[in-house]
Amino acid sequence: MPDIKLSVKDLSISFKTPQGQVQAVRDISFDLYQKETLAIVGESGSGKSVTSRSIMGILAGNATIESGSIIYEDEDLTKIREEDFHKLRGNKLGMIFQDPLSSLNPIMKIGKQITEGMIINGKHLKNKVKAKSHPERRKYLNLRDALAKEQAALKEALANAKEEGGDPAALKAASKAKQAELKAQIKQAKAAYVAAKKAAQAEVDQEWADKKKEYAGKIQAVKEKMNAASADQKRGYRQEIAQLKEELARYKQVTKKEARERALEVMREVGIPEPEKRLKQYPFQFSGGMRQRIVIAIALTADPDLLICDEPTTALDVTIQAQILELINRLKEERNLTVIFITHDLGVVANMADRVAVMYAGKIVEIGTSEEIFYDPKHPYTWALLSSMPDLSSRDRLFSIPGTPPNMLYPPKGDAFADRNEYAMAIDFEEQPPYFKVSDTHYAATWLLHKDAPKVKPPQVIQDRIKAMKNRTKDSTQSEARN
Amino acid sequence: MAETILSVRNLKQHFTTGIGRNKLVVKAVDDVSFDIQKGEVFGLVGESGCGKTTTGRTIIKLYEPTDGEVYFLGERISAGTIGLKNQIKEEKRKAAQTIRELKAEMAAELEGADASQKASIEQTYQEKIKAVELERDAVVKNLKRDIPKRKEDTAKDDRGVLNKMQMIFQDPIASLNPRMTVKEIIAEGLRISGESKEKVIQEKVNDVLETVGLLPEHASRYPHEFSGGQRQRIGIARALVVNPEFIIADEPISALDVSIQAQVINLLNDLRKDFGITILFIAHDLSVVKYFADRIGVMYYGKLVELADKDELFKNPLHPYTKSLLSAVPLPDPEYERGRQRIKYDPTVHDYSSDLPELHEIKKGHLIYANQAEIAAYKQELK
Repeated sequence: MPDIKLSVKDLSISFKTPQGQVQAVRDISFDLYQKETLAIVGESGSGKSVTSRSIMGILAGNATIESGSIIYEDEDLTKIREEDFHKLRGNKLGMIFQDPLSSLNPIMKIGKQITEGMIINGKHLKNKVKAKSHPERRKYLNLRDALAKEQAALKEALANAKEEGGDPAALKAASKAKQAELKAQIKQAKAAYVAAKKAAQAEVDQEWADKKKEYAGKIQAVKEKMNAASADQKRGYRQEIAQLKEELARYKQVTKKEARERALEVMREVGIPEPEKRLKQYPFQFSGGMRQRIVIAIALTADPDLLICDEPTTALDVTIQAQILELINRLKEERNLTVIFITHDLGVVANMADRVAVMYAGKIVEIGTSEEIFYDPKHPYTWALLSSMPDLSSRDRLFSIPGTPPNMLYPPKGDAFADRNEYAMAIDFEEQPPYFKVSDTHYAATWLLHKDAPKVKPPQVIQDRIKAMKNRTKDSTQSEARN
Repeated sequence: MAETILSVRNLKQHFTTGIGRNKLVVKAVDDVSFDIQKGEVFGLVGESGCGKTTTGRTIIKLYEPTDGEVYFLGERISAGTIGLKNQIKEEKRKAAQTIRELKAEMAAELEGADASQKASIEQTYQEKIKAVELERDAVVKNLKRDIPKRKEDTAKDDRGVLNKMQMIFQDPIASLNPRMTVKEIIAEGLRISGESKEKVIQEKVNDVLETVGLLPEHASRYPHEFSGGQRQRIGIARALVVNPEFIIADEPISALDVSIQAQVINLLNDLRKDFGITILFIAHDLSVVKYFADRIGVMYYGKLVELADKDELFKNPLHPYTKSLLSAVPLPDPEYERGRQRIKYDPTVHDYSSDLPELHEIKKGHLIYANQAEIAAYKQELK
């Protein structure tokens, strides 16, 4: 089993609206393995984008993470601070959005948009100081969080005591003692953090001073040579000095020149012809496919190892879509990326995914490898999705899912899909189905898989289609064998 | 043979931007011709920017065509004049050229001639020039006569005929006025076409809401209260209320979710079966077009490059662009997708420098845009 890259556990997210709490994501768990592509499929409003945004830490302001954790490199992304997220977003996590036109700034040249992130994230010396004092800072901040939690708990306990008639004084005393202890710890941690920061700063300053001295010496040497040289040679020396200065500057931060070079490199990588010319243009001068390539290039400048693609091809047409999918697949191979791919187009999923998670009403209803989902689907919602999409041989009336998705202000008690499900049983309206194991990699949340449930076969359309697909693969393998 | 409901002849739609040195002509639709039979669904596919939407919009007279004609129910509903004007210019230029040549010839002959012959030579040449001029005038007059007629046809606003043609737009959010109730939106077309009895309007609105699967009580609501699929139904209801015979559906499902796409396609399919409505279906999703349309036209950069029955087109795609388009359709089959070979289209494979291409019927009902050399090659391929 490959390594787990990212692990989402019991994640629930809700949005506060004037009407109440919209429960967009309800208690989902999945693991993302190294170098795989996980596709998340579902209708709009099923919570697939919210899930990916919570991983990126870019949920809207009215969203709260009710419970659960997202573990990435031993850190819980639901708990870390915005400043720490900057580092992750810049370096580890990249995201590609749906609409390439609205995710680019229309009045900023492409070159600036690509280099912006690199320059902001590229203060090497500052980053070093931060990295060196990171453990102390974590400890300090964790303690502060703990204190805040304790205070909140005390408040709640006091309120409860008032209603139920407990002893507020005792509660207060117990909590105060704990708080005092925490405060003392915080004081210590803070001192440690400040000291560590100072030490790191001094160390980095020293390093920088050394570097400066080193380069000053080098430049001086060149200057001396230049004074002795003839006018013709002077030019070469001047260039050498400029280069040395640039090298020194690059030690401190990502310089504009360096950023531009990198930008040109990634633009070539994503297949934009004449990048030198294109850098000076505005987004409106690009076609849809090219714009999406720019967005991908921006995500790649940070050299991420996890790429989240939120419907990257929905706004594009077939030929361009095929190009962008090929590009993402190629980059995945070349850069060893792990990809989360969000879409509602099952054809695209079949092309991209190693594993597929089907989401409905904020829950993952079925998860498995793409072969399992397409050739052996188990959940009625997956059946419905598959059969509502015409393929090139469909002739009969298309299946359309009756009704509408449930209102997530008041999520249903039982299976959320029960109302629209022709296979629904009485228990579906009463109790939420647990995950039933189909194989080691394939799980589905439907009561149909319970051992007491009646044996139901998927709709005829799906059976026919699976048969047709199997025949097609058989044909092609046979013809390959013949060749 | 079924009755032809819509006939598009050499339609051109050019957009000009800038003036003088910066003048730029975008040939959004360039010389497109096709017929649509009564009761069929004609699919128009191509990548974005290929002119398929512009074709639809020109047909329904949202744009004035640059050149070419559109016939609907046997009547010319719009026609462009640029082509004629250019033709007149060309005629005049040609005549002027001939006259200049004749004059030069005359001068050459006069130089070597005796004084006695001069008069007769001059006379014969004068006569020749006169003949050319007369011919030119006749041709130009003939051409000019059609210009006002075309303008008149384009300007004519014959609701009786035009109401038989309606359009459904891509984006159900942008195409419905957020400040109008559903009833107002749907009834607008009725009112414009002269219906003023409130009772009749109410009845028709209710009928049409039922047809598209909405309830009469929805009539008093506003568009934002509906889901995406329901909004698209309102758009369809608005088109249906005036009893059209022909509907232009401009990517009606591209902005919708998968499960809702199926609802809208089923609805359009029902309309076609129950009311015999002819549909021009513009889309870029080939699997949907294959499912829904009878005949498919493929457009590329303003040209109709291939037109055939859907089964024929999917079985024997000839034009390299069609092949590339078909190879890009994603299918819900992981095994197939893994082995998928996408064909790239390279427009430079066509050598149209001397041998000019045109739309040619290579097989019954299968038209392709190619030149003579290519047609020979395609014929070979078909065998």
